[in-house]
Formats: sequence, structure tokens, C-alpha cells
Amino acid sequence: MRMAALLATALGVAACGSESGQSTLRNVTTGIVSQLGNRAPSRVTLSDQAIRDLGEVVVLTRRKNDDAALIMPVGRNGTVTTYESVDGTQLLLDRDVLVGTKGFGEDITSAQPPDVRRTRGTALRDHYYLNGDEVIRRARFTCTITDTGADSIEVAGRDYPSRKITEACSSDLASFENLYWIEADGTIRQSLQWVGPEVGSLVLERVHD
Amino acid sequence: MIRTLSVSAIALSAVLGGTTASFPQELGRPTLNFYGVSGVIDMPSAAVQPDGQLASTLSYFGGISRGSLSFQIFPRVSGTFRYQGFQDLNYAGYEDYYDRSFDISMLILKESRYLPAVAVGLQDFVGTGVSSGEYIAASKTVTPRLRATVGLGWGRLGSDGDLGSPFGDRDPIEVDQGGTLNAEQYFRGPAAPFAGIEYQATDRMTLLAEYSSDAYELEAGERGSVSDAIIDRASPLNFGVDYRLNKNASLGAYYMYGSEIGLKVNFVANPYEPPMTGSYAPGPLPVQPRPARGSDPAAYATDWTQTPGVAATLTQRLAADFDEQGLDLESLAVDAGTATVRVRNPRFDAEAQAIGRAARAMSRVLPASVETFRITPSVDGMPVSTVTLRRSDLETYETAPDGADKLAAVAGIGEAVPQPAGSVRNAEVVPRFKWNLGPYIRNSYFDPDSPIRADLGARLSASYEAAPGLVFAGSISKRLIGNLDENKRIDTSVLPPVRSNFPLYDREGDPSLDSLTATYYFRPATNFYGRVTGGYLERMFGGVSGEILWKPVDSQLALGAELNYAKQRDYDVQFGFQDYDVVTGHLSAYYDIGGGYHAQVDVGRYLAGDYGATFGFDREFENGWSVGAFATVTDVSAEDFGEGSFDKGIRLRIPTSWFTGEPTRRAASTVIRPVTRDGGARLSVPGRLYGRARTYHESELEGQWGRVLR
Repeated sequence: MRMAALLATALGVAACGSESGQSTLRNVTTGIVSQLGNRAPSRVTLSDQAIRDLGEVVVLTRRKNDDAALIMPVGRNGTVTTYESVDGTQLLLDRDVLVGTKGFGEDITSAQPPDVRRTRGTALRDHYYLNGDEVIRRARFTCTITDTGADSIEVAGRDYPSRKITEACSSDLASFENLYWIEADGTIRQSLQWVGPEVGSLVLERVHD
Repeated sequence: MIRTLSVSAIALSAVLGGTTASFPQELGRPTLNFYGVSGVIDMPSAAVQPDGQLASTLSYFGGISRGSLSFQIFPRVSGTFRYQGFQDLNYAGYEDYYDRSFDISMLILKESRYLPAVAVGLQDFVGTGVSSGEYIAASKTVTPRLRATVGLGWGRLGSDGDLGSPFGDRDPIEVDQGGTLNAEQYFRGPAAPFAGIEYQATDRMTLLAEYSSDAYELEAGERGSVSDAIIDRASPLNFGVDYRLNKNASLGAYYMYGSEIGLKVNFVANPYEPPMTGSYAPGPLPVQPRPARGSDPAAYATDWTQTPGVAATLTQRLAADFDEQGLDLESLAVDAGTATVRVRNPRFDAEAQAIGRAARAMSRVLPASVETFRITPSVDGMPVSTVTLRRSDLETYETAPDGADKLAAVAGIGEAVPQPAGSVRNAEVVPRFKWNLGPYIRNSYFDPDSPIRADLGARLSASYEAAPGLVFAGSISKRLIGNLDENKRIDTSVLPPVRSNFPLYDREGDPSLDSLTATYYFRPATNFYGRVTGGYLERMFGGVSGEILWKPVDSQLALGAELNYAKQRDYDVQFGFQDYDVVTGHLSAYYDIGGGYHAQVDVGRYLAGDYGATFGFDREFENGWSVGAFATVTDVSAEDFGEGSFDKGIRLRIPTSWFTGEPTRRAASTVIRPVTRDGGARLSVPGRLYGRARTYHESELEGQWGRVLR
């Protein structure tokens, strides 16, 4: 398939012209390289204080490869905030609960998660994905939400007393566990949230208060 | 509008199962045989490939090489085009004999608990007949890892160990022009049984064994002096192993007919399973919601409309936001409640994605009182449709669960609205000069002296759009390396040599003026599109061309008429012309059958002055893949036409975004003709209207609506 990719785009390679967006070679190459999974993980190298000074910022880490990035808000619609990293990847967080991703490939186009702050016991979670046939389909998971007790966590050098909530979800085809560290006022200070089988889970650390 | 699809286990497995790396436990994708069709080794089976799969297979044994391209046209029907070479066969006047052939097979019974899958197939059913054979095969999955096949073959597949001729005698094969249906031969003559088993030993390795009913009479030299013997068929038994390298490729090694070593490699691609799932491109500018009207009524005031120069200011700001998204704002008209934009989309292959990005940019620039967004995509200066969105719907559904579907339900798609008075044009978009310098590959297939030839070179193209729709364009190319000029074979033809002399153009046309045209695209009336083109239209012809197309936005049917005067260009592909000229033109009907299937009929006069019709059938996938076939029959007799009897071929389009996961309107397209002759040849006019007009029509917009919020 990689050979085919190269052949299929051979005509687009190394072209130059007046129009932008012709970096086909780069696109194909990055596509192939990221397919191979050889990309070195990016790191956040700023100190805790420097991160704090950035203001409203979330540290995003991909569980799968420890790829870390800072994401900042670029839009707010109702309770949903769109955060973006420097490479244009976006996360949509509804009061810190993931309801969409853009730029991960296997994106959650939209989602209807349970209210993890209040619900305990069984709940439904819906994710919508764009399939290879270009149709958006719903994946419905049955989840069990449990309060596992007090658990103080450290985010960017500060300790936050919080309760750890687990949300164990499954369907016929996939199962995963989301974790939330929720403070007394309802702030989700840190979480582990699942996107899909390929992307895996994301660790989100909310730096700002 | 977009239908909400119910969730089934299959749908879910496509969501989730498709991305898990492990192979399924039962027999995976069925084996492709030496002919590139579902089968065991050299014999066919009744297994079917996944719907929409495109497979290419290369196989070799005993001096026989086969290259096949197979497509699962419908869930139960597959078609194959094949090119075969027989080294040193010394047959029909050729030392090495080459042969093109088409197969078709159909599943007539799906496998069930007790019954096997049953398929019938026609092999080489319109070719020169060397490989002609028919079969009925039954395959059963005996255990999850073992599939057994038995079948009955006719023709080539009934040449060894026959049981008699149940349906009468078969006329001998005549190697003539080929290309005609050998219908009177189908299932006639001796019928012989064949059988095979496939055992999946490990997740990647499949062991294969079969009993072949093909005697290889011609290749074993058993027809006397007709041919030389190139293989020794010592046994009807074949054995082999197939090893799957990954999801898309497998290799095979075989011991064939008791004497030969065989090798096979195949590559499969399924349009539904892109190598890169979804999109890796940066996200859009988010919607900028307005304050609630109740809490901030002042924000909804309309006195801004009285500000001098406000339209120009908004146009400028919107143009900048569009530009950031890769879109070109052509013009903006805005009043207190409605904004109407004309937009060009050079970036997104998913049309709905361009609409969605335009709408979000509008939400960030336009005053709060503007509630209605009318977005009119423009293709080469022609407005082709208008998508109407309520701004409040956009705000509500941007982040809502299943928001794209909900937005689809309230979006209006209709005929392009005229741009209202007071519209401000963005001078950055038109007039505009564009140029591009890049490599090109030109190839030619199936010349018996060298089955594949290619040139690689550089091409400089440029265009200048002086006013919306008025485009001057040209391109020149220079070969850097290649062997197209080595083609010394010029087929003689009783028809005017309108295509068969292409080798002369390849030989003498370097550097070449590929095209130099002036084109005007326009909208003569509601639902109508028009085009007038003049100049050097293609490498072999220049002239003038006019076209009118009728295509309502919500119509599955489109009708077109094209009239051209064409004069043949000199072989040096520069400015001169030869004496031959012709008036050519067609009436066309295009029909979107549904489910991605498209039919097209063109009736008219062709380049050689012959009259006839071209029938085309394509399967298009929402992501831009397209696989199709076409055939042209004209009043030229098969004898006058020459090899192939009539013009036909297959065409293929694979979008670049399918590989990269990043938006681009680029695609790799190719047309494969078994033979290029002079009958049924159509002028290749750049800028035909159907592909342009329908781009933003209902079916195309809905097809990738899932990306509207992407």
C-alpha cells in the first residue's frame, strides 16, 4: 500500500507553483511515517511554573506513545471549549469531558457521554465516528461509573485533593476505562479519556484554576 | 437529506473492528488465483471478495505471465481485466504472444450453514479467446480454517478429464480481431470437473492444493504446429502456499502441473478501508456563537448596515478568514439578516467540508443580526448550487451529539441564487494568474514489442482567469527520460488515422504544446450550464468546442449536448495542423442510479466521422474513488475497426486524500484501453461540464456530509 501510495501520487511529487497546498510529497511521507509509528514522541519541556504562566492551558498526553502537547482554548460554544495544539489538532471538551477530536485520524466526531460528576452505576455513552465509507455511525457503550474514593493528585507541581471516578465501558467490540479526578467544586483536574482503538486514551491535565 | 443509519453489528465492526490490528480467526480475505480472481491456484472458486475491493495480481509460471486487475463491482459480481504474455509460444505469428481478456463472475448462492456458495463465471469472454472458459463452482467453509471447492469447467477449464459435452459442441476458437462476445461458445463442448482446498495454517499462511481441469494444450504444444511447447503438463495437481504480508499484500509460491515453479503476488485495496482513517489535517476555526438575544439585545441591532463601507470591510475580513481555511471568497453580499457568499474551494475534496468551513468563518465575522447564511460554491466562475444554513443551527449543532446529521436535516441545498445587488467582489480571486511546474508520466500499454512504455518529464502549466468564467490556459511539456518514442508500430487502418498514429506524436512531439485554450464557462439559465472552448484542445487535435448541460441540483438525471469542430495537429505537437478535420459531437445522458452507481450514454459522431454510442458504467465511492468501464459501438464494422472489434476500456480514479488523510482535490486517474484504434474515438476536450456542475449538487454534498463540521 505504501508503494501504491507513492505511485499514485508520483505526479504530484515535487511540484511547485503559484498555489499553496501542493506539498503532496510531504503529506504522503508524513502519512507513511506516522503509519509506521516511528515518529519520536514530542515532549513538553516547559517548567511547571512556565506552564502555569500560560493561563488556561491543558497538558495533553497520548497514552499510546507518551506524545505530549499543550493545548489552549480557541473557541467556546455553550459549555464546550475547543482546545487546539500548535499543529492544529483539536479537542472539544464539555466541562473537561471529551466530546470530540479533530486531527487524530480516527476522530470522535461527536459524543454523548454520561454526567460523570453525578451519575453512579450504569450509564450509556455514545461516540460517533466517521467510517471509511464516509458515513458517521454511532458506537454505543454501556458504562459503570464508580467513585473509588479520595485521591490527591499533582498537576504541574501543585497538589489537588480530589475524588477518583472510574467509568468502565464496553460494547461487543471494544472496552476501555476512563478515569476522572474531580475536585469538590466539580473541576475535573485530571482525566484519562478514550478516543478509539487506534488512537487509544488521552491524559488531560488541567493546569489553570 | 441525510438518513440516520441504524447501528448494526456490521456497522460497528466497521467502526471498531476495522482498526484493530489482529486478523480474523476464520478464513480471511479469499485467495486470489493465478488469473487474479477468487480461486485456489489456477482454478476458480465460489468465494467472493469484499464489496468494492480492487485487486491487482501478478503471476508467473512456465513462461506464462499474467497481470490482472479485479474489481468487486457489486456484492455478488466481480469483473477482471487481464494481460497475459506467453513467452516463446510462437503462436499466431508472434514469437511471444500477448493477450488481453475480460472475465466476469457472479455469486448465485450465498454460503449458508448447510449449502455451499455457488458461483458462475465467464473467463476471457470478449477477448481473442485463447483463455476462454466457463465454470460453475461450489465452495464450502468446512471448518473455520478449511474451505473446499468443486466445480465444472468448459472451454479451457474443461480441456482435461472431461465428462462429455452436456450442452453440445463448441466451435473452435478463432483468433481474429477478438472483442466480440463468444456467446455461442459459452458452456458448450466438453465439461470437466476440478477441485481444490484452501487451508489456513496460520493467521498469515494458507496452504493450497487443487486438481486442475485445464490441459494447457496450446502451451504444451499439443495442437501440432500451431504453437511451440512452453510447458510440460505432467500432472493435473498443483500445490502452493500463500503468505499474507499485511492487510494489502500477499505472496505465493507454487509447484504447478508436476513440472513448473510458480510465483504470485497480489495487492488489494478497498476504498472503504483507507490506509489513513479519517483526517489528520488541522481542525477548523470554531464557530463564534452570538450572545443570547435576551441577555444582549443591543448586539442584534441592525444599524451597522448604515455604516459607510461596511460591506467592503466585512468582505476583506471574511476573505482573510476564508484564506486561512484554504478557501477563496469570490464575493459577499450582506444585509441586516442575510449574507450571501460565492466561494471557491481549491482545497477540500469533501465538498461539505468546504461549506462547513465557510459557514464557521462567517460566524466569526458577520454581525449578530445576520441569521441566514447562503453559501454558493463557484466552479470556474459558475455558481453551481446554494447551501442555506441558519446561523443559530450552526451554533447549536457545532458541538452537539451527532451534530453533522442534525445540521443536514435543517440545511437547504438548492439552485445557485443570483448574487444580490450591492455584492462586493474580492479582487484577490479574479483576475488571477496561476502556474505550476511539475513532473508528468505518460505511458502506453500493450504494445506487443514492449508491453509497458513510459515517459517521465516536466510540465509547465499556467492559467489566467480574466473575468469569472473566462479562462486562458496552456501547458507545455518536455520529456526527460523514457521510451515512448521507440514505438515503431503504426497500425494500419482503413479509417482516418485519428488515434492509431499516436506513436508519431510520441516520437516527434517533444517538447510539446500539450494544450492552449481559451474557455468561457457560463450559466445560460436556471439548471443550465454552458461552455465554449477554442484552441489546441489536446495533443492530437485543436479546434472549437461548445457544450450545454442541463443538471438540476436535486436531479439524478443530467442531459448534455456538445458540438466540436476539430482539426488534426501536426506530429510535432506545436502550432501546425494537418489536413484532416471533422465535425464531431454528442448528445449525452448521465444518470445517478444510486448506491454510487452511475451510467452514461453518449450518442453522436466520433473523430473518424463514424456514428455510434458510448456506454459507460462507473461505481463511485463517497471518498472520491471511482472504478468504471466503457464501450463504444459505431457504424464501423469489427473488421474495419481491427483488433478488439470496438473501443472499450476501464477507468480508475483514486483520490490522494485517501492515502494521506489530508484534504486535497488531487487524484490519480487512469484509463486503460486494451487497444487504441480509430473507431469510436472521442475528442478529448478539457473542462467538460458534468463533472463541474454536479460537484456541489445534492448527492455529492450529502455523500461526504459527515465532514461538514470537520
